Amino acid sequence: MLLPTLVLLGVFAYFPLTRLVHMGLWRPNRFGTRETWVGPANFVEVLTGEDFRTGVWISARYVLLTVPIGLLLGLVLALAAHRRLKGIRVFQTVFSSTIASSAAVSAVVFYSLINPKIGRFGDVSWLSLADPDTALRGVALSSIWQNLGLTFVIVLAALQTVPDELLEAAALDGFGSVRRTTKVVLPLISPALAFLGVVLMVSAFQSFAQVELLTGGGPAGSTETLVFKIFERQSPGSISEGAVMSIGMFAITFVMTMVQLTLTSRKVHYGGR
Amino acid sequence: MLDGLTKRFGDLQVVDHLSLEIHDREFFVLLGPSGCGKTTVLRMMAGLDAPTSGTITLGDTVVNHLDPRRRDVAMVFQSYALYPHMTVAENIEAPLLGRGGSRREGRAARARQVREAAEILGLGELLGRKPAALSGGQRQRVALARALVRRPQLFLMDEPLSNLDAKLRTRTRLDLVDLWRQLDATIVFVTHDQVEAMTMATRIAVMADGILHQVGAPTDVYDDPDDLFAATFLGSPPINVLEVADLEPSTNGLGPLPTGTTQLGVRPEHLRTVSEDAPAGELALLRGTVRGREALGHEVHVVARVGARDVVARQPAHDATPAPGSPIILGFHPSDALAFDRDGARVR
Repeated sequence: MLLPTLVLLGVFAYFPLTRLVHMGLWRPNRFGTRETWVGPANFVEVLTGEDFRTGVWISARYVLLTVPIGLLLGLVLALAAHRRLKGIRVFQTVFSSTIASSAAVSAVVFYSLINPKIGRFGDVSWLSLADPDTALRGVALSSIWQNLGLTFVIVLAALQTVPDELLEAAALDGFGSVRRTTKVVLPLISPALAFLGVVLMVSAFQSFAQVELLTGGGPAGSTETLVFKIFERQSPGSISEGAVMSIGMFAITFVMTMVQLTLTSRKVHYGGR
Repeated sequence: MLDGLTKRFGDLQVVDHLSLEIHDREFFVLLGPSGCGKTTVLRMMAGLDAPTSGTITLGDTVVNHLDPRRRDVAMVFQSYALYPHMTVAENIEAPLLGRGGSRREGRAARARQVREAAEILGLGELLGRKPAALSGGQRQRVALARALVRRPQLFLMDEPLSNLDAKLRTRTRLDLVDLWRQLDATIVFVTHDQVEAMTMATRIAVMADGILHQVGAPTDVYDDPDDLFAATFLGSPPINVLEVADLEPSTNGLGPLPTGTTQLGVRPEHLRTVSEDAPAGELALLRGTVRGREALGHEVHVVARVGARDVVARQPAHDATPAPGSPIILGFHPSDALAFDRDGARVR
C-alpha cells in the first residue's frame, strides 16, 4: 500500500535531495566533464557568504511584505462577502478569480500597471520598479494580488463551517458584530488561517516567477530573492554553490514551517479538547 | 405576550396570527409536531427572526425592534451552541462579558457569578474543560448555566432535552422543574414531546401548521381538548377515534349524542374488555377481533380491530386477554367519550 508513495517520494524528493548533497560536495570543472571534491568546507563557505545572506534577507523581506497584508486583505474580503445577500455570488466569484491566474499572468498584469516606462501607475514613487529601495514592493504587490483568490476562497470556506447557532448565541450573549468576529469567528477559523500562514510564507519565500518577469532581479540586485540567486547558479562552474544554497533554503523553509506550526498549535483551536 | 404574531418565509406561512399571554413565573410549553412553527415563535421572542406582522411585548415593552441583546432573554439551543474554543467557565461567563460587564463589574464579581451558576447545575468540577470533553448531559447543563448566569427576565428553551438519551431525559425533566422553582423564573419551552409537556408545564399551547389549537393546563387539555388535534397529540398511546356512523346502533348504548357529532374520541385507559355474558351495565360496547397485545410490564396494550380501524385499550398487566384472532368486546362509559364534529372541533 505504501509502495506508490515511497516510489514517488523517492523519485521526486529523496533522490534529488541526495543528488543535491552530492553536488554540494563535488564541484564540476567549467565544462562539466570532471568533478573535484570540495567537501563540507564548500557548505560553510557558501552558507556564510555574502550572496546567500543577502538572498535570505531579500526573501525574508518579501515574506514580510506579502504574507501579513495578503492574509489580512483576504480575511477582510471574505468576512465582507460572507453574507446572505442577493448577488453576493458575483462578488465571491470576482474576489476568488485570481486563483485561476498564474504568477506569470499576475506579473504581466502588474508589469503593464507599474512598469516605469509603460505602466499606468509607473510614476507612483513608493512602488517604483526602477528604484532599488522600492522595487521589491512592486513585486510584492503583484504576489499579494495573485494569492488573494486562494486566501479568500479558503477563509470563505472556513467561515461557512461556523454554525449559525453559535453566532446567534453570541448575539443573545450580548456580543456586537465586532466582538462576535473576534471572540467567536476568528478562533473557530484559526486552523484555516494557520494553514494559510504556512502556505503563503513558504510560497513567498520560494517565489521566483514574479521576480524574473517583473524585474529580473534588478535594479542593482535589489530584488534578487534566494531562489533567484539559485536560479542564476546553473552553469557547471557555479552549480555546486547553487546546490548548497538550495539545501540552505530547504533547511530554512523546514525550520520556518516547524516553528509556525508549533506556535499556532498552541493558539489554534482544532475543535478538540 | 404575543399579539397577532405572523411569520412568512416567502410564500410559506410559518406562524399565523398567534396570540398568547404568558404569565410571570410560568413554565410555559409550546407543543407541536416538527415544522409547526413553534421554534420560529421562540426565535421571534429572542429577536433572532423578525416577525412579518404582530407584536411581541415583554413586561410593558414592545420589543419587536430591539436587538436580541437588549431583550433581557436567554436561550438554550437544541444543539446547546456552546463555544467550542472556550472552557466551561468561559462559556458561562460569556453573557456577562457580552453586556459590557467587563467594565461595569469586576473580574471577581464575574467569577463569583460563574461559580454560583456552575454550582446550581453541578458543574463545579468541570469549569476548566472544553465542551468537546463533556458528555451530552454535561453540555446541556453548561448551556443552562450560561443561560441563567445573567438572571434574565425570560428563559427560552428550544427542545433542550432532545439530544439526551431516554433515561437522562427523564431525570433532567425533574431537574429542570426544580431549577425553575429555585430560580423563580419564567420559562418558555418548545418541544414536540407530549410527555415533556405534560410533566413539566404549568400551561401548554398546542400548535400545528402555525396555528394555535389550545392553551391550558396540561390535565385540562388532556381531559377536555378543544379539538381532535389537541386530543390526539396528547396521550400515549393516542386517543381512539371512532366514526359514529360505524358504530352499531344496537350495541352502542351511547344514548343521545350532542348534535353535529360525527366522531368520538375514547382514551385507551377508558376502554376495558367485557365478557359476552356479563351484564354490560351502562357501558357502550365495541365488538371486534384481537389483533395483538403489547405487554409493557406494568400494563398491556390490547389492539383490536373494530370495523375498519384499530382500537387500543390499556389493561392492567396481569389481566387475561384473548388470543389474537379471537373476538373481543370493549366497553367504555359514554361520559368518558369526547364528541367531535366533521371538522374535528369539539362538540359539547
